[in-house]
Amino acid sequence: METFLKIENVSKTFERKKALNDVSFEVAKGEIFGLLGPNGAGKTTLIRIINRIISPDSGIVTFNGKSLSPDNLSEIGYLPEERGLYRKMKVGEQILFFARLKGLNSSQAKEAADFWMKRLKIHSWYNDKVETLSKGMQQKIQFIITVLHKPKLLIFDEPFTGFDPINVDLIKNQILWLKEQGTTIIFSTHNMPSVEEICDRIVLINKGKNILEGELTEVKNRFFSHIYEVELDKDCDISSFDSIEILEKEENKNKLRIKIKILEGKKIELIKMLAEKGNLVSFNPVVPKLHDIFVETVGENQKIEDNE
Amino acid sequence: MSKLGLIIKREYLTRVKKKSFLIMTFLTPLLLIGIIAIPVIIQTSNKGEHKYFAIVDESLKMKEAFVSNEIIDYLYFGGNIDTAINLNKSGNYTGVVFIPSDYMNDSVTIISDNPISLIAKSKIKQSIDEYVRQQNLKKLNIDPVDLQKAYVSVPVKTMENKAGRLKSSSSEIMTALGFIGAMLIYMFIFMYGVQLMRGTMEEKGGRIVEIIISSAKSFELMLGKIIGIALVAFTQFGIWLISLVVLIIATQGKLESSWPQIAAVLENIKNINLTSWSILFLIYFIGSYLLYGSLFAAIGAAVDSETDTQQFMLPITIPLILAFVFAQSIIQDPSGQLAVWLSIIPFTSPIVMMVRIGFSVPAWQLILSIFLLILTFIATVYIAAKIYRIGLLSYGKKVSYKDIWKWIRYKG
Repeated sequence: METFLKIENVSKTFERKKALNDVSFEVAKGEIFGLLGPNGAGKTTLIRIINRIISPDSGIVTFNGKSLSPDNLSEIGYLPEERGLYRKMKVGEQILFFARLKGLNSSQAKEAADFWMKRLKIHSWYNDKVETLSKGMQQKIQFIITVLHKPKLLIFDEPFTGFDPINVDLIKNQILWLKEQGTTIIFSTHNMPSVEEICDRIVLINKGKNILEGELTEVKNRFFSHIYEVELDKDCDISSFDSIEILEKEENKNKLRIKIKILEGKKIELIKMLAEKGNLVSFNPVVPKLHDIFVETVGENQKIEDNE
Repeated sequence: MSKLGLIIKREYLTRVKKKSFLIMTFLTPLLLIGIIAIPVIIQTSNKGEHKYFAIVDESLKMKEAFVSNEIIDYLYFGGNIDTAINLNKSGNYTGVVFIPSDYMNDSVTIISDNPISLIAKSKIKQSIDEYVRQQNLKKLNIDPVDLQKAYVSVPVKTMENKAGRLKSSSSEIMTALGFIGAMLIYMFIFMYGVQLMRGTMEEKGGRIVEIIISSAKSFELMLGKIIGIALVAFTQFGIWLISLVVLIIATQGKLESSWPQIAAVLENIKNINLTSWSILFLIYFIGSYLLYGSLFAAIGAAVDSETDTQQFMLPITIPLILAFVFAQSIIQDPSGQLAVWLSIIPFTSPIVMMVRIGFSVPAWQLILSIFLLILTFIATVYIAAKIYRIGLLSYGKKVSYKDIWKWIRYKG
């Protein structure tokens, strides 16, 4: 794993509130990294530190091997959760203004604006005033402003809010395309299914602390609690098994569907035993949902904090 | 182009391209002319409703004093105060003028149901005074024509002693110019200060700001806004100046024949040295704009909504308004203590000094005043930048002076 962004022991306190408390993690080059956490966990503070909008009280941020500097701002694209545009400005003018603020020259900016407006099929809006556009349309312009200057690092804070399902897919595909181009992407959201869909690795922050980190599949395995969904013939008798706990049982005409937890022994032994009893139709592990991992981890963290 | 340059360009172009800019540029001079001209026009043309006054004269000497004219019709009666009251009750008259027999001591009374206009009152008083004066002259055996001859007007002119050479000075015009300068500064600080505040609020309220300050520094944003809007103001000045010059050149011949007074004033302006006035005007305009503008911008960054601006606007506008109010009395005594102090204190100096420069201001006062103004605007821009940086990202909370004090002291 080639590290692109490194957060080391970053802390930040606002008046009396500790927004970030010794947070560390690394984002690999070219991956989509999920930055997760409940409301008020410190995600926005962290993102603002990466954008140099605010500076940390302590800790180091390393960008592409060097300490983060103002020069890096043109290499970062940031889509904030709270976003807006100049309402009275024309779409084209606005895109060019922000592109040039990010350091593109006039012709580069025009070229990039052309490219992206065509890509998102909004080229006909070039001379429209922003205030005449719908919210979803404005979000598309916002997206273009974020990615236009070919940043090496993209930070999306809830990028899908305000979009209809069709546009969510459109934007999701753009994000995946940007990843293919080698862009490193930090993705912050409360929408867990979308994290499962596109993130390679995640970090979970609660109350300013890093409480869970790792590759998405690895994290899920960590939380795998040996629960399986099994489908058998209806007349199969499973009451004699004491190595399993039956969590759910559902019978229909000729099938028996059960959810079990293996208490002892190996999966393969159980499969053998089940097959001997009758016709085993299917046997699948129940992979924990990121949603449940989130709720469980944050909940436990809360308990520990309360006890302290 | 630098980020600052881009921000300046955006601020400037979006404002100048607006229709309202064009409208205001042409409407403001008309409005100013209107403010001066309308009362004059009203006074000269509108004489009000026609009025009927009954004169009840106990002295029986005043009949000839009252001659009906286009404003007032007089009806003359003999009688006492009761007659006057009864006539008023009849309701046929705007008012009843009662003249007692000993009018010099008992005073003339005007009785009416509703308060009568000042013009009517002064007309009536004039008629009585004039009549009594004529009578007195007769008694003293003085011919009114001789008396008129006794009134004279001796011409007085002012000369300035410039290193031993006398130069004609025109203190009236200098006073007027100073006052115009003061007024322009006052107006522009309000107009453009509020624009600065609104522009900042638009970026904060419209949540545009986070995108901008992830690309540029908040100080660049603030400075870009201040400079961009100043350029809009200069554009407006420029348009006015050019149109004024064009107007003067175009009407030169006609002006002398139809408006000789204005032509004479213009002739006088040509003779005075406008350079020093212009330079001082620019210095004070820019200084006061930076001083007040940065504070207005800071307010815009601190608050969430227009209604919250009130509490912060007040302390900023008070010195401005005070300066403008005092300006009227400073014209009477331009070298007095009040004038000197107010023209040195930076918050009032731009307006007050503009009024004073029509009269000779000691160099040390001028230098001290400008020096303090520069120091102060550096301080306010610095403080405003601190408020700006933190205020822009603080949402959803009503901001107090305490918060702002914290932001100013905040390090890092």
